[in-house]
Amino acid sequence: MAAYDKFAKEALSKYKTMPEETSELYKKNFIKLPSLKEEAVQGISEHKELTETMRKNYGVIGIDFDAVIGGGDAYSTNEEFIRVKDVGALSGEFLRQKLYGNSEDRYVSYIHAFSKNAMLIKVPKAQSASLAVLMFNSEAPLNTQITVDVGDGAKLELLEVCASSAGADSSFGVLNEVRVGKNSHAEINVLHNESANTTVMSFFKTFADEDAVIKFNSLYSGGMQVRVRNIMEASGTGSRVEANEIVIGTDAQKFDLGTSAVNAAEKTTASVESKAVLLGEATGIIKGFAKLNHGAKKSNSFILERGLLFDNGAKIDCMPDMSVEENDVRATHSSATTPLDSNALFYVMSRGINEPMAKRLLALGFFDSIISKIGSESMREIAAAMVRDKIDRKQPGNIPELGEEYREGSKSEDFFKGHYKYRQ
Amino acid sequence: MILEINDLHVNAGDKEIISGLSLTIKQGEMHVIMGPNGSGKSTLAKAVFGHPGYKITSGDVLVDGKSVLGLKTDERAKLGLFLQFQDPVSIDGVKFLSFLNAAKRSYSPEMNIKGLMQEIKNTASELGMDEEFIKRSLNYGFSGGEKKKSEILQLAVLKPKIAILDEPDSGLDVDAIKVVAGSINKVSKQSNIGILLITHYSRILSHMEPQFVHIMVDGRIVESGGTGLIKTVESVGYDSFVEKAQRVK
Repeated sequence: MAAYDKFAKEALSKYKTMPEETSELYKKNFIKLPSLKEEAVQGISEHKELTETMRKNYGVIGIDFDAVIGGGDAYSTNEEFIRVKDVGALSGEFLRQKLYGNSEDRYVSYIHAFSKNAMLIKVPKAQSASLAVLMFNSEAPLNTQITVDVGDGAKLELLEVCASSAGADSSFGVLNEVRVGKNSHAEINVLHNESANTTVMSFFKTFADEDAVIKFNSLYSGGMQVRVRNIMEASGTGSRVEANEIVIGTDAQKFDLGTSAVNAAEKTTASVESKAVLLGEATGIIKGFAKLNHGAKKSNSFILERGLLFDNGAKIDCMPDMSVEENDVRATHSSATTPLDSNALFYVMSRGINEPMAKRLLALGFFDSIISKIGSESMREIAAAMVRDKIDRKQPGNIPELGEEYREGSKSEDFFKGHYKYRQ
Repeated sequence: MILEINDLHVNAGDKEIISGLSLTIKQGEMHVIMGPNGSGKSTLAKAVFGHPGYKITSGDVLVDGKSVLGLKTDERAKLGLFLQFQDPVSIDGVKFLSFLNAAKRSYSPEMNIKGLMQEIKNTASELGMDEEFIKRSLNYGFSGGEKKKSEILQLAVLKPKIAILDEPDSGLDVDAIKVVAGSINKVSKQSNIGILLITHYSRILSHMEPQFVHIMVDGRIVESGGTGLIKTVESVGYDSFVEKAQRVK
């Protein structure tokens, strides 16, 4: 407890004294988050009413969660792979190695300082697991930390659903650190569906060991202000890291995504594909950064950013960037933003398809290259449902209904079948 | 169904493209509009469907006696109108099947997906198309001929009451023209569809039996008649019709 208190105190001190940001570009382009509450209500207990309600509510999209954190509650129903701990009970070594290293960022420091619970996910060597966790904020902030360790030759499919309870007007902050062992495979799907009054902060650090693969698919729909910082490092020879990002924003939502793809060893592949559809007066900043370290010979790096604006008030800045320290590599980046093609809309509507549905089709088509990368068919459907819901209702935080429109175009006969997590 | 175009005037920006055009098409009839480049044929087709790039300055478009000018494009389609595009847009990521499924549902909410797929496969086979194309993105990476056939396939599946076909023959080789013309004939007869076919050339018409032929120049119809007009165009071109239009001005 003393170790954590000390770290938390230092982190809070840093959070309070760090300059807003140092870069002029950052000051000009990046969103500033509002003052954050110095409080958090979490604890370890079992199945409180609010967490059970949230669990049931999100259950309608066919997911049985293995662990839930939020609303003053935290528990795991699958302790074989997931443990939920009070951070004060964690060792100083763990904190220093896993999460405290992120504290160069003041928002990370804030989340770290006010995390009450941490989630530890461990898939032992050569085993495989398919896990789903639900995290949600209520009137009080949710700050939490997740560490994922995937052993050599193991396989993990992890879904993180980030949501808000009714009337939530606070903040949601989560730190993830993922380490994937040799010859292992991890696919992590994260769905952000917080309320319109929520400030969202999300940080991922991933490290792929020799010949390992990490796919990180994220969909950002919720929150009024969303700040995301990810570092995807292909650390071991022959490893591959891949970040696929979807942003769907409405009203005055603000999204600020910065994802770095790092080639840190020979024969590695690192890529970031980001696509954003913005409606209303939503704004987005998409910054993908490719870093090819000295010694990362025969590596590949690829950054792609695309923006699609449905309304005149929406705005997006795509800023791909790279730093190449090695000659024997291949690195490319591209970005493009365009308004909705009126000819495409006219064409679709000329077939009797009404405007909202036509826009849905066009948005789903735009995102198809990313959604189709999601390994799980049910996850693809849930992601598509979230996009549809956002286009239709133009507000974040709704629990999407699984429709037939996308499913019939893509599903095979065994939709939801054969996977114990998903109902028939 | 009856589609009436009454003294229609259409602008693109400040320029008038359609200048007082009138035409009536009944379900089951086949009309042809021929005319030189730039005479306003494609503008007419898009204006009837309410394309946002064109402004109707006067005149009216009626379906069964009711003006459709206040209706959105999809609402006009749901009345039973269909537009085959001369150069349909390619939309990456929107799968042809998902698109046609959504379109068919807008016409027939009770439609079932298996029946639709079978219908698509049968029609694709008749058009000489590989059925794998239904898994591809809408018109994306399609050749010119595939795009035309894709449009005719949509016509066959959606079964409208009146269809405006904007140059279904352009870019097709002689064999493909024959196949496309045969499909249009078959679909229009089976479903009693009224056709307004827009073309520059007479080749496709040798495989069809239109009852009405109209020559369009400078945004208006300068002459209407039977298939004899096709032969006139074949033998002397559009020069005499252009002169006639200039005299009328």
